[in-house]
Amino acid sequence: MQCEEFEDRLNAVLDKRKRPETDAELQLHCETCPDCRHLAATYGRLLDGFYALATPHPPSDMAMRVLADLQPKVSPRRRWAVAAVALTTGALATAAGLLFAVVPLLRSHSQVPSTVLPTLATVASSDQSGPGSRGARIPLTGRSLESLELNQLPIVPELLALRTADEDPYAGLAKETGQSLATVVLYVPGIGGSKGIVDASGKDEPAWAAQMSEGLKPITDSVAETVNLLLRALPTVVSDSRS
Amino acid sequence: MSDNVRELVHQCLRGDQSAMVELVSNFRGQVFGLCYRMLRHRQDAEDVTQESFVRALRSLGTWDQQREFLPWLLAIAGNRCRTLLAIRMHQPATSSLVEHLSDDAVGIRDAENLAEEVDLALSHLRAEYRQAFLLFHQHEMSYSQISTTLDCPLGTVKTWVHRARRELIARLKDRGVLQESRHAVRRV
Repeated sequence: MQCEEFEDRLNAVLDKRKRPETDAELQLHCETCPDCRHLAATYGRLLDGFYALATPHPPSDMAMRVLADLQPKVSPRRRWAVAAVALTTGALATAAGLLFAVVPLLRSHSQVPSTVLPTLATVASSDQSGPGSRGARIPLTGRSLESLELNQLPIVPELLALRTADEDPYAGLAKETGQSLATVVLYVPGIGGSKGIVDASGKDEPAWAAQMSEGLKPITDSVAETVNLLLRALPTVVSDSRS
Repeated sequence: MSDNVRELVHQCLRGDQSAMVELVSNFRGQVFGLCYRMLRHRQDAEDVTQESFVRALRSLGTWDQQREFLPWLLAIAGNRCRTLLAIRMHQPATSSLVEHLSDDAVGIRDAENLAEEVDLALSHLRAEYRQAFLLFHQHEMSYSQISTTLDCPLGTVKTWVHRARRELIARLKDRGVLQESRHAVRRV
């Protein structure tokens, strides 16, 4: 071997992930050529130095950081909008409760025809039509709440969508809408899921989610159960308001 | 690629967050290792690692499942590193390990400092040479895999790795870390 060929041969040996001293041809040449022997030694030193480099440990929370990054970003304006939706929903629910309480009182103390009274189903289903469709127009006045189908209740549309979710309703709606769990909780306040309170740790809006979900603890393990519980509670509200 | 990784990817594509966590945990060491050696800055390496995983998870659907997963992932990380290095070139230098080491005395001989000098020499390589060198020596990828990862001919990859070695040695000699041969004028 000539000196001109030595470095190429040396690289070829390193390409096979072998040490220069393991190659007989290189060794033979090195015995008679101090320059090439020195060159082989420098390559060896280079790799010794490289492999001695300490490998830093990656951050242990990398996976959670990545997941947080994957969550849709919620701007402050958007957060206000979401909070407003939650408040509006709460206000609607309160109004519904009051309406249920007031309607029987009105019926007992006046002769106003029931047809002119506002009905919750009408309010809830102004954009729905057709027999059996969600929120079909059914006058609620004088009807027992327990007799109503779930899809006739004036609750936010997401609630009705949750009814058909196979497993955890929060997760089902989150997947369907592409929203974070925290956002879903805000859109559907007060409705319990198997996961209940959103686990805000590691999410991109932990303080916000924790704060907003604080008062939204799940009542039961399923939406239907929660709604039925609410239905059973409503007559109590009525009787309380009468007394 | 193992079936485990393929299954994990399928679960990720279905939106399973626990699978995403597992995928990131399985590969974070390799991705962070490459980013750290490329960028030589821990915080930047963490940021680019995170960004690479986010990009990878968002574009998992484009990954050709007939190919290996890690080279595809490292290609994303390498591209992000090169982008950041290009941005750095147009920014005024900030204090870094490079400057710190530059002030060190020449003639260091012990293994620990040799490693630091190699690390410093790596930072002066062209980004392509450095990435090819790291994929070959650090990640032990074959030239064929690196060729796929960097999307360039196999011969080019081999040339880059050889030039990287030669330039590293030249720099270490300039720094006095490796001695010139006393016997003759070296060929270039």
